[in-house]
Amino acid sequence: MDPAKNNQAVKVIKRIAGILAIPVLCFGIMELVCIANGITLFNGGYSTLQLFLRGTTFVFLLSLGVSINMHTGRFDFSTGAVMLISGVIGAKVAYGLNLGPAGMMAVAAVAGLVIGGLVGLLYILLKLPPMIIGLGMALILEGVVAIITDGCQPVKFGTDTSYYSFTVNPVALLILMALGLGVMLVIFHFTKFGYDYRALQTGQKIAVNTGVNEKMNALGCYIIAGFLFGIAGALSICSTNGTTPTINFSTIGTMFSCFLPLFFSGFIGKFINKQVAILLSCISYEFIQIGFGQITFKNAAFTTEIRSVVEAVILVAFLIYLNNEVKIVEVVMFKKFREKLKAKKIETADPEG
Amino acid sequence: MKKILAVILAVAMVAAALFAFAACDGAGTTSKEYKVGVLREDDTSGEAIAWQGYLTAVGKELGLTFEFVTTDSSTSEVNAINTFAAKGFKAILLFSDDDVIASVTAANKNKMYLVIPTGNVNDEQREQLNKLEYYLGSVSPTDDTDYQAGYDMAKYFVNDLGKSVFTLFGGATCYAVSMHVQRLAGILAYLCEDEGTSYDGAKTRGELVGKVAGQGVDPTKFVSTKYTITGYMDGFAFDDAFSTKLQQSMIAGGTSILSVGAGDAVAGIAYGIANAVASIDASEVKSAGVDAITSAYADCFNIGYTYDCGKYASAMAPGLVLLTAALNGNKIVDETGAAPRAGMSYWVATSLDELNTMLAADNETDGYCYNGKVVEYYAGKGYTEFLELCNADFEAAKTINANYGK
Amino acid sequence: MAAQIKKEAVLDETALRKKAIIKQRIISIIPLIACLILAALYLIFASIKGYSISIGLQTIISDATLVALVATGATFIFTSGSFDLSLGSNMLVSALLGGLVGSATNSLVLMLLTSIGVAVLLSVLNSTLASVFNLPVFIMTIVMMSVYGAVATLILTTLGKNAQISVPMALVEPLNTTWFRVILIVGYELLCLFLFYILKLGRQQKFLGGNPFCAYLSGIKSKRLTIISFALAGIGIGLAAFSMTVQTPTLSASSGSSVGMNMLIALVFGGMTMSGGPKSKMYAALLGAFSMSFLDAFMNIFVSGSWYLQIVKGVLFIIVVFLINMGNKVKLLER
Repeated sequence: MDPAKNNQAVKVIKRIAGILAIPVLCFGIMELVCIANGITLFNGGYSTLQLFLRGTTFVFLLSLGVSINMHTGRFDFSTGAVMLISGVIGAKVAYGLNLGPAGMMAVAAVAGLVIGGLVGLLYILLKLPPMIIGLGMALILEGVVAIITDGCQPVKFGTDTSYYSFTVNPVALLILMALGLGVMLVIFHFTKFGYDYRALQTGQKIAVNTGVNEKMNALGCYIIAGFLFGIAGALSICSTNGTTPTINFSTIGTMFSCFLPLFFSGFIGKFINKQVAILLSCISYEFIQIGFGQITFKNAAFTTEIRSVVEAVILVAFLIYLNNEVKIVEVVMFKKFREKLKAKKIETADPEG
Repeated sequence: MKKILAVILAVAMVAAALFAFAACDGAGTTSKEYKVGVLREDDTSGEAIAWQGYLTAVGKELGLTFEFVTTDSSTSEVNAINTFAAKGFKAILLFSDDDVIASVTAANKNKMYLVIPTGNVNDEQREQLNKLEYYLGSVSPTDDTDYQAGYDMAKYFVNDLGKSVFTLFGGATCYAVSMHVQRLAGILAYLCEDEGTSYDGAKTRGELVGKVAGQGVDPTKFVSTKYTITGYMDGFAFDDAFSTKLQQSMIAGGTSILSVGAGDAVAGIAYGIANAVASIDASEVKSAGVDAITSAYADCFNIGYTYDCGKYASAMAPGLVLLTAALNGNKIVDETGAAPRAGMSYWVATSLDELNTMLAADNETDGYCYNGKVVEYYAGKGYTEFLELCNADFEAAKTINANYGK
Repeated sequence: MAAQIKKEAVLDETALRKKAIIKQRIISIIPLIACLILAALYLIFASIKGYSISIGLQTIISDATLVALVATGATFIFTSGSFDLSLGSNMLVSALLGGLVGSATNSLVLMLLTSIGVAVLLSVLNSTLASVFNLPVFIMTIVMMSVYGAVATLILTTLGKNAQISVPMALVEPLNTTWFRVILIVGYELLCLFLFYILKLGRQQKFLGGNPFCAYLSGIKSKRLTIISFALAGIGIGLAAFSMTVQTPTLSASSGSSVGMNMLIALVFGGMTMSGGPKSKMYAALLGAFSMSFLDAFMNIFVSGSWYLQIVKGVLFIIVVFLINMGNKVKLLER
């Protein structure tokens, strides 16, 4: 066999293994844990699959949006607030005008786009750290939500079940995912905006010195992220058949819920396109979520608190792995020991040398 | 120099305008009016809105002006009380309960009357509070009332609706919050009256309370030849994990959903699931909750809500009676001379018609069941009459209104 | 002729420099001016309305103390270029464990020592985990925020009654005074000012925050310095936990819930730069905490809906930071 071809095949296998490792591991581990608790991961069949798809779609849209700014070093604390306000606007307008769930998604997406743009505009005009702008805007947007909901009154859909049904409709969810993925792939891989983004991501100063318009790029990032947050916000409200908005920085935590899939994508992204890596990470993450749901359904002792600690431990463990990959591989493969052994063998074989 | 002068002039003008603005704002109050601060954690639920409406309207009749503040922690409670004290408020209605002792102590220090209109204090707290001169008492459904509410709800579903497969929502049972624990124990206690039914070996109220407080219900530990619990949820994060569990439970047949609180949110999600999942017969889905008899729940009856038990707008009246009596110099005390710790009855509606009848008898437009006249009447009476007001069910409340409210 | 032109150019440059220095000084005192204006506005309007200034000021002090204690400690962390979002939940866990010890032993000293001990331990745990495993501190603290939150709930449900832990009022009552709070904050502030401005610690932290690479080349042990910064912040958190328990001895999951985020706002209001480094100021936290409390008190005179206050706070927050940063001519956008 041609060694070049052999090498190529090994590379492909390695790549496929890298791409699938996390999803397969997550599925396998959660399935085993579920079985140990007397249930299966997809217990409930089609209905569980519907919830799996819904969860994946939500976290995928959120992760895509957060990744845009986070991967350029911008932490936007207003993420949750943009989601909430867009979703609420979408729900109020769509329910009021009888636009249905698809209309709600569209209105929320536009609202998110505009509000995200507003946050971005403030960022580029005031030239303040994104964390500051995010914090300030989270306060302001939460306050505005309280005003438009007449003091945080519940936002509901009455007897109209189409909004909830939309969130368990696999076709609708797949369309939303495809829309998110498509927008991201086209914008970030086939436009000048995308090239500029990556130039700014890897070398801000050099990119600006070579003529990249950083301000417009940053504004664009906030607009695209807002668009995705808008849809995610609408989906979130529909999936609980309404919402009661809360303020006082309660929206800040939303952003953190996609950290685990984003860190998963850091690993998968070494083998495949970033956006697809995020999708696979979100699928993996949802295996964990559905698994937790099944375990709590069967085992009441597995409370929300225990679940958050377990999730945090997974996140820390994965972070430790990502940041110490070389050292860990060395330890696992006994690399240093083998090197020493090799050195010793050479020494013994050629004591003169 | 010119610049400095201009700045001084501008500052002086702004200050003058602000003084004028402030002076205008203060006009229009009479010396007989009292200002009362209301501290609450929940300002969005149906009952919170109904109570705000009641207090504002009846307050006008009684010469009381209410200012509402939402707090989110014990420190914000105490700070809000001190802020009201600085503003010269005379009294506090305390709905929030992050730190009752600290809040009452703060009000007492500032010589402000304080009533807990919908909260219970335990024996230990009561002992400390009774030493404080400005503490006027608490009114709330007792543990017994809450236990009975859960018990009656389960009984209604079994006897009147013929149900035997349940999904339970325990609200704050996981945090061992007494009222939710008692209601949940009440539900289980009724089911455990059946000979072949027990929960983790427990059958009586005391045992059941011990089993569920802080732990919730594990459906696998529910043993019965007659009933089934297909799923249990608690906490108030109505997220994906919650709807996953609810959906699983409903698919498993638990279409009778008994909630110890937040029944409107649970009913909303259950309604969505019922209509989206083909394997669930939507017409079989019935939910119930210990919540509130307010207009917000009328909508819930259209989405599967079948049993609504809870406080009502006029439930604020006993608290107002304690306050008005004290402001009139006729402080109501119990037989031992201490500030009362009174119970309160729930109203129960099992259909939209029933709920509408109750709402018609107790609303802002047509008049509240316990209007200003009723409050004034009881404020002039003693502890025995006060208990009569607290313990009135809907029928008794109508009689009270007919006798003293016209 | 040439000499004259040169002289004029030097004069121009000196004038420009003077102007720039004046501008910089004005900008640097904006947080102080903002605090004074807010205090004046509150005092003027409270007087006009006939409100009790003495009760009002006591409320402002108690409100500001918690935030100031946490934020002052956090200044060490921010100065050295780190970040910690878990301070609020750390405070809750410290208060709960301190409260448990206090009610079990009936000793305020043990309660204080436990609160500080736990807070320092948790704070150091954050930085140690981040240092040992090379994790980004920011992410680490976000993860720990949810871990501490879950731990607090577990403590409350397993060791508390009705999801609350109560310390006897009689035990804390003697310390529940404005004077105690003033002594606490002044004492801690003086200690921090001493450490920050008199000892080399502050200079090292500024150096590390401003340019970690140069700091490393100059022999500054960044990991050790970071751990020290977190430990000092832990002392502030512990004191805040103790102060909170003294004021409201019934502790629940919501105790001090907003402190974690308000601490960030206070720091920024006070003129602290989020990126740390040489422009960091130790007194910013105190100034910011009082500015926020005066703003709250002032707004409370006119507005009762908390959401309006929240919007005003958000707008002012952005404006103040903008004014403080006005002098910085940055070509690149901040990250």
